[in-house]
Amino acid sequence: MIHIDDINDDEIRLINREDATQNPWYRRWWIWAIVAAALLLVVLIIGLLRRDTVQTDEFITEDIVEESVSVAPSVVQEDGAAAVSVSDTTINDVQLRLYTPVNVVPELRLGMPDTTDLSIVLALQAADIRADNRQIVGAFVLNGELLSRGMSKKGFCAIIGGEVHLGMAESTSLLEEAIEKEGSFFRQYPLVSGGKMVENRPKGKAERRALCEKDGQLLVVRSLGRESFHDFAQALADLGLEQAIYLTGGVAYGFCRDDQQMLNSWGDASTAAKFENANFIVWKKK
Amino acid sequence: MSGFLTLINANELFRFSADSLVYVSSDGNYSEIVTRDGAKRTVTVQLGVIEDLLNRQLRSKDDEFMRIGKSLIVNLNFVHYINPAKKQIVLSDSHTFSHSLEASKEALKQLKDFFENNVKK
Repeated sequence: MIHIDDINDDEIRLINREDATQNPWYRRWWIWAIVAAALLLVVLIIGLLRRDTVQTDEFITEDIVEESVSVAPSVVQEDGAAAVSVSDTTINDVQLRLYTPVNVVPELRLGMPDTTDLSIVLALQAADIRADNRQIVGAFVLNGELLSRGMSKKGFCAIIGGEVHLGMAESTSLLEEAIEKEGSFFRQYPLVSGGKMVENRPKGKAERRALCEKDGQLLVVRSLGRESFHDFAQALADLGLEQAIYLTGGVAYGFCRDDQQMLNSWGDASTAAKFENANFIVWKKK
Repeated sequence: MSGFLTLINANELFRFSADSLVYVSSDGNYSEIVTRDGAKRTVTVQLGVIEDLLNRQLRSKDDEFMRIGKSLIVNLNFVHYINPAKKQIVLSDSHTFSHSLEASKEALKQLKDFFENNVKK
């Protein structure tokens, strides 16, 4: 039973009429306005917390001085054979596997790569996809076509005329250049810039992947265990990499073809296949 | 059709037709309910609770009550005379009963304004 007694002797209050001079508490619009505002605040807080959670789970994650480097598409071997050189190392207790593509060219593509295509020697998911609307996060250009806009992450990779540019910038002319010259472009978290580790917001641990540059060569680094963003980025910097941006981690799908043409894959292909905007950076034979 | 004010406790149930209620006055944790037939019923319910029950239980637009200050609820249909300067309000059906009550000057002035505005409408 509700007890209304918030009245003094000099006041009057009409009872049982909609246009009462003072309504009982449950009819006062401002109480409901406060309740609605409080609910909205709770929803926003939950939304923000969830966003961070998604980032840590990260198949499909979200959300970041122009500084970029251009690197040759791959190492050229004298015998001309396409391959991926694989090596393992441990930095600061972080186990890393390094993939250095040889005699291949990188390209960005939308949709699952064909695992039976023997010309593809390395493939990894590139830009993140939002879990809620399944759209690509940040600017994304495919063969000169701008498919997604935005700068939620400062790291970028541009592939223009066979040349790969890795960098970190809020805005870069390479985006326009990729569109003009029918190149490709995507955004990701920057991990290493100018040889120094870059801190990022996402928390939690997951298997991490990165697209990196060292001594003018492009390579991919994959953590073999679940690592925090901080530890992974620090390990890349300590490895002597000059530039590195993140590639979708966690259960994101990827594979490498060894010199016996055997496919070594990681992540979950079925999850990636559910997202029509799942995008990959692949290295193909020239 | 007039509604009813129903009060229920562990042992009793009181049911008052709204058009028979003249006023309800507060006596601390008790309330005194005065009806048209002159009966006065004291109930162990605070005035604020009765106000809330009136709000909840009465549906008819004809049943209009006014809370006046901390200690009085009056049936507007029986307001016969208001004199803020004398702090006096008289409730009557002009036929069978007449009750002269006291309320604050300011509250009665507001009540007088209320009726004046209703007349202008």
